[in-house]
Amino acid sequence: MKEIGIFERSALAYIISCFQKYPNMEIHIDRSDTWVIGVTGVTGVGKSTLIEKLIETFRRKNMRVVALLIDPSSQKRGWAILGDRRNLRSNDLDCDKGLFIRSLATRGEGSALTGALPKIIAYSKLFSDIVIVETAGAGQTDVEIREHVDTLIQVLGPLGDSLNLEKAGQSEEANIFVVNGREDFKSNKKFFASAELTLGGQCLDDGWKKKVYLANAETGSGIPEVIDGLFEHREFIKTIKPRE
Amino acid sequence: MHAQTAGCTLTRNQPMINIVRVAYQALAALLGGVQSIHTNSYDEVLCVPTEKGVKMSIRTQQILLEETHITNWVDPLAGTYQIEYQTEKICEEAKREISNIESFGGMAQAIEELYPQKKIHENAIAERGEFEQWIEHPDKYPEKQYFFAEDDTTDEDLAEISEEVEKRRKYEKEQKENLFMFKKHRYQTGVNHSLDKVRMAAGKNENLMPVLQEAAEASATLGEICGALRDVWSGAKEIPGVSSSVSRKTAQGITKGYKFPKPVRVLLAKAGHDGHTVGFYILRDIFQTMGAEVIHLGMGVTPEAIAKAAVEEDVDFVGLSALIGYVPGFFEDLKESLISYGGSHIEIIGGGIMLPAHEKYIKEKLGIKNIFVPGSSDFDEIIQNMKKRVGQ
Repeated sequence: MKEIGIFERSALAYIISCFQKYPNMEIHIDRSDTWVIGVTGVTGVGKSTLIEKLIETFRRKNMRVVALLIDPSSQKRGWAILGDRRNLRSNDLDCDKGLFIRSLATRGEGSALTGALPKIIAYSKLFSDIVIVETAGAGQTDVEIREHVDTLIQVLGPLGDSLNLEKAGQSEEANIFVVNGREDFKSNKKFFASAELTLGGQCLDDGWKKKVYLANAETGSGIPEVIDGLFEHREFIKTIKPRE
Repeated sequence: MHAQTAGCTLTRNQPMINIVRVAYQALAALLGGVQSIHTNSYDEVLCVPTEKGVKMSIRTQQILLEETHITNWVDPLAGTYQIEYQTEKICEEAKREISNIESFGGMAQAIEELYPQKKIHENAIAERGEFEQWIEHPDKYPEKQYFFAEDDTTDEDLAEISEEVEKRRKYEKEQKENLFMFKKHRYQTGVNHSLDKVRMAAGKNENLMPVLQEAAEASATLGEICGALRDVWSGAKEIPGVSSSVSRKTAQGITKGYKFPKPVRVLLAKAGHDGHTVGFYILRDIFQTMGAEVIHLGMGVTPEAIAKAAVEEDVDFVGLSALIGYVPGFFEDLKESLISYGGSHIEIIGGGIMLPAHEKYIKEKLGIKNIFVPGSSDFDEIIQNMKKRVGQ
């Protein structure tokens, strides 16, 4: 199994801190074509649970994973409770040396993304085969992340009606939509059908047809299809242009 | 109705008087008409109860049962004005709480919404805040000072307990060997088959009793059977987030408004398979009010997982709470793991139930200064140490 070595691990941890502490710090970072996946969605929709399933799958394929979990800081007092890492705990992942998880607080830059994120992602790419970025769950307006990731997943809860799906914002940018159906939601199928109709098949500027999946992140049903969709998108972006 | 005496009322500096506390609490429960009681051991604040401690608490129950004959009456204090009046008051409060819980749709839903957890936590931190007041203003609360007095319990008195605790250390190895031999001498195919049946029944929500019995008869271990159930239902998930504006306000009183001058990162985790999270959550509230970024790793974490997370998160402090098992072992392992992951610069804060000898060992031999045991330390110290570390 491929690993993130002990020195790589502490270097990455340290440099990420530096990027956050010293906003003007620049270091030369080699270009890398590591795949970056972004996961967004409103709070409580099941992003962490989905990410746990993704990480498990990628680790089984022997890919090294860096996961960056972003949570908001309190604007007024500066504190932050970074609890997402807890959701990624399991016997297999706890001491997995091919996995690096880092929780980041937004530190009140007024944005859901920390200013240092592009640099952090670029640096993380050097040590891994996949970088997964989870955003603060700011939802509809949180589009900035698009620029920094190759594939963007939006997790939707089966709430609201089809009109919400047409509102401007995130849904214009995401490549893959996952409707996270849960057992206690009765409207799973109905919502999925209308999401499929509204979003599925829409074309992004680069010609990618948006894909919509119904999955249950808790039980893992539907996750293999999501993974297939992700790899399909990866192949797709390889064909359209060499990323600069 | 079942009542348990309160472990949080026991004192560590005078362990023997806990016997008196437990006895009175048990008496109160019986006068209240409970059908069953659980009496705590006097040494629960020092370690997982010893044989002697457990015997003492059983004897407490037996004295109440056989020598006071208090159980001959259903409600011995019925009609007493003061008691009935107090009962009415409690009853009213209870009704209010019950209607609150019912407004969530029932207890299960209320737990999911963290309602009872928040209430328990608010109560615990309020008690802690009061306690801090007693320590800080001995002149204002002279009557409370007996609480903190050291009695003449010496290391020698505790030798018996220490001996038993040290002996327990070998149990893990013994148990692992026994388990290995047990598994070696059983019919593995039968075990696998019976576990598959458990999985199938659990998946269909059928009556589990017959398949569980079959699995046990086929020599499947408890861990394997529970593992099979977890495969289907997945394990228990802790819901992080027991904190509220009320508890944060109390925490502010404890920290006296101190705030870190720069972002400080703290990782908090709890080792061992128990649910004693009060200290852990109080620390979280305190760090939060000081403006720290708290990474919440939750319960039942191994030292290695804590070390890996602490290094990846590049934290300044890692807080480990351990209240069960061989506590110095957790700190030894954490220290070692931190070194092997390249995080020896990270400062460890620890808390838990441990013997004075172990506390000394952790402080002196392992060099972990910030060790906090129930009742014998105040938060001022921890905050001062942190200020020093953060550079102010």
